[in-house]
Amino acid sequence: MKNMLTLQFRKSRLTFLVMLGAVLLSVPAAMLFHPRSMTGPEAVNLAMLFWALAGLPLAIMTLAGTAGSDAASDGARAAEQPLPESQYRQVFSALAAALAQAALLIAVVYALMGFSLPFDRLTFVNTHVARHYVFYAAFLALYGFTLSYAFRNAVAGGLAAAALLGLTAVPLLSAALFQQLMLKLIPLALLNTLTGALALAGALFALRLLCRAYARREARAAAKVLLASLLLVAPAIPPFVGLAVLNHKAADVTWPVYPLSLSFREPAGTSDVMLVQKPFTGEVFLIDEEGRRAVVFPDDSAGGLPNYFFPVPAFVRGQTMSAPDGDVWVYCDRYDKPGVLMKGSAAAGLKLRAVLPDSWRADFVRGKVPGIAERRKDGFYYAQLPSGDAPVKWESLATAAREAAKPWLTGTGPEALMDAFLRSSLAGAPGVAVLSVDRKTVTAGSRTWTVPGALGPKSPLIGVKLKDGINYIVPAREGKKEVTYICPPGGKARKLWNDYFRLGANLWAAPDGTLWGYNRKSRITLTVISTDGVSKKEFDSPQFNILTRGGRSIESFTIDNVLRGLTTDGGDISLVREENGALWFTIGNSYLVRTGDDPNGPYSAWELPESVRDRFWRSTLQPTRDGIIISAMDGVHFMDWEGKERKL
Amino acid sequence: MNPDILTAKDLRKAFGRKQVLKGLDLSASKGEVVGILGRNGSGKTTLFNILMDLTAMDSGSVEILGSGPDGSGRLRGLIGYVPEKPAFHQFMTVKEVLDFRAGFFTRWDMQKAVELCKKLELDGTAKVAALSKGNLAKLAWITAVAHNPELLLLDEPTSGLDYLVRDHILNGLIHELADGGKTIIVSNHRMGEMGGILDRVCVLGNGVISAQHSAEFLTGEVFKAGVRLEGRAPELDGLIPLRSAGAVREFAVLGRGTLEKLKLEKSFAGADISPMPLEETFKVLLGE
Repeated sequence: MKNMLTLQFRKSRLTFLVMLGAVLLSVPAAMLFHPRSMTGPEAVNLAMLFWALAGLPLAIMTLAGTAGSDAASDGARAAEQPLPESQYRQVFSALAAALAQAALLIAVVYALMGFSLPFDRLTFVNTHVARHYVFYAAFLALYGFTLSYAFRNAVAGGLAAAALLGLTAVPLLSAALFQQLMLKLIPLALLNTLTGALALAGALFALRLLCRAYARREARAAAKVLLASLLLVAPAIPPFVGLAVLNHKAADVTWPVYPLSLSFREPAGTSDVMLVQKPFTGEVFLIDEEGRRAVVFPDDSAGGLPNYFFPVPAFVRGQTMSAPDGDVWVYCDRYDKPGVLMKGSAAAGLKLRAVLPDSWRADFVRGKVPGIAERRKDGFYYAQLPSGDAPVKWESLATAAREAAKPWLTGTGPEALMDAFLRSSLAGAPGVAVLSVDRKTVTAGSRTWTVPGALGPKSPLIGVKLKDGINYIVPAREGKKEVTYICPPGGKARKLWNDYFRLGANLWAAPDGTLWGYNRKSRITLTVISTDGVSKKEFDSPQFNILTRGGRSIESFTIDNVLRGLTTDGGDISLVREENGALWFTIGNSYLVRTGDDPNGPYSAWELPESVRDRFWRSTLQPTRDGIIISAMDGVHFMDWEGKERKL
Repeated sequence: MNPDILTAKDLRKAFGRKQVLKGLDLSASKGEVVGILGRNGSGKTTLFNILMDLTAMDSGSVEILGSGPDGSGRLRGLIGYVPEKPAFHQFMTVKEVLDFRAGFFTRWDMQKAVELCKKLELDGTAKVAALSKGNLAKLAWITAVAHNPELLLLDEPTSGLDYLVRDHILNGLIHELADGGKTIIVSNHRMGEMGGILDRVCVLGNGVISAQHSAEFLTGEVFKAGVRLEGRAPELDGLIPLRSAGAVREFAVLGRGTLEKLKLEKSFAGADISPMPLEETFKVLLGE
């Protein structure tokens, strides 16, 4: 074998030395002739980048291709086959020499780059290629050699190898890009390993079969060539199957339809339904705890080759708002469709009430009369949401052409105009209080409270329903401190907390009315389990201020003890329910936890479905009265307050 | 009887739909020189390639010096092979070829190789690319015998060589090898020039060894009979019509027994009978 290797090296010595010389010469060339904007080392790095992305692949194709076609040539066969070495070993020695030469060229380029890759300066695709460079190079060398041997032609073999590499790598790159930017739907590491093993083992076995068919002229040569062809194409199968599985799984992915913006004016969402989208099929539907669905947009998967290689989500945005008659108003807008305004329920279905063909965004307005404000290309419009089947009548609030030139920050632009409109619409509505201009008095209907130093005179105060009726939470300043007052329905305003809290900013209401928020976090160390293994991670744990429906205040409540007992990478922690002193929290997309009011007391923790745990970059949970609706990778689930879970 | 060095049984080989070997049997004992006689495309090179373990047989068995073909190339280490068209790496010199080959054969005798170069007047510093056809043949001979194989396979070993080289090889090398007790299987279009050293000639036709004769038989028991014959010739095994000119006809007579029977035939009374030259005998065997 050593003799054969020596021979093969000698045969390709000239080609190899020319290539090596070109690589080495590019260093002084880059140092001498680089542009002024670049330093010498940067120019060398750029030259090496050229070698890595274009020069080396071509060099590898040339070395492997010529070695393969030469091994199959009549001259080499006549000169080498009578030697007492197996014909496969003879061919393999030529391949080994080509691989060694390719490896040497790569090593030289790598050395000239200072044995480091500039990952921080590479685009995603280049980073991915760099990480798998050795595999791609080995693939090109192995396939270039084998196919050139099969075709007895270096050019045809090299081009076919490049085509097969593209066929194998492109779906892998697509899947990797998708998984990095979107969701981890398939086991990519396994897929890469399987593809690599198939490519390397398959090509070697194919070469052996071709050798038996061509050199040894064994019986059933056509079958062997056919099998070799299948083996050579086989590595492209897992990536395409992986991509097909990814597409299939992507079609099941659900996530909530998020509103375009979250602000004080956001109407209290509907509590027992979730507006869900299947981003990769375009389907949008309203779903309740029983799994009943009402379709907003039907499934209209785009299909087509580009979408197959990279499923693109539709990103529907929208809002829901409860109607006085118990129905739900739904506004949905998809970038490629006219917006729709619908009304109905998950059980009975939704009825289209208006098409918003030119909608940029729209907001439900929970004012004196529920309405919808819409931003169109030419301005702002408003319509009351009618009861019954009465048509939706739009009125123009402002035209963009006239107002657009006015900057938003001056408070005179169209956005500010709409903001002001929404505030004024809210003011005076049932359950909404306003602050006097002197910031001393809070008024809601006929009720008035005195809150000295109240903050935020322009923002209407949305009331929260506790057991004693509608209460208003008012942040205020006391000297240098910020505090929070509560204005109850049957008494004077009193100080609730010695800290700043404002509903919608750092204070939220659970579906049962419990208020919770936080200003501070304590740093704790958590055990994290991820695809990279188990590790420790520093995590900020909120210190909650809670106001129960019964009016009981709990301050600086932490769940540090709970977090330390779980394996989670954290995520948003939300209080979702309070009942008889027991508190329910969701931790990221990982756990539902029930604790007592003693932070160090016993607790129960239930893992959320596997298909949602640590899979999304933001919460996909919708707390309801009876549990949590969970939009997950494989559809919509429901978990009740005892941790019992079912798929809807 | 010397032990068999080579035994091939029921060899079959097809290329696509073309069946080249159809159950060929062949054997050669130690020290025997066997000529394989066959027309172009009869399967001689295929047979040699199978014996060299270069081409896989479809079925049958081969045993050479106790080993069989297994694709490992081990068998080729035991055989000296002179192909019809010798080929070496063009970039090497003669000396480099010898050095390179020495790395593959455990019994390689470099001194013998160098001596053969001198004897055959082959310059060790000459580039292969610059070698004439004759010198390439010489180099092939040297590389075939330098590792002292017990069996030599010679595929058209003198094809295309001029008289002097042929003489070198035939009267020098082959005789030396045969005298040294080596077993030699040789195919040659001009088998006549090999006549003196052959022990046996096998006729390869229709994918099998269709006939085989000892050297004694071919040189002493094949005759040519010329006769004026009006009617049909008698039907005798071993009587082969060669040519005719009117009533004058010529026959080849294979075997002394056939000749005796022929002499009893009235129609052959007065026939002109003479021993057939070896070259002509091979033509008869080839059916030319």
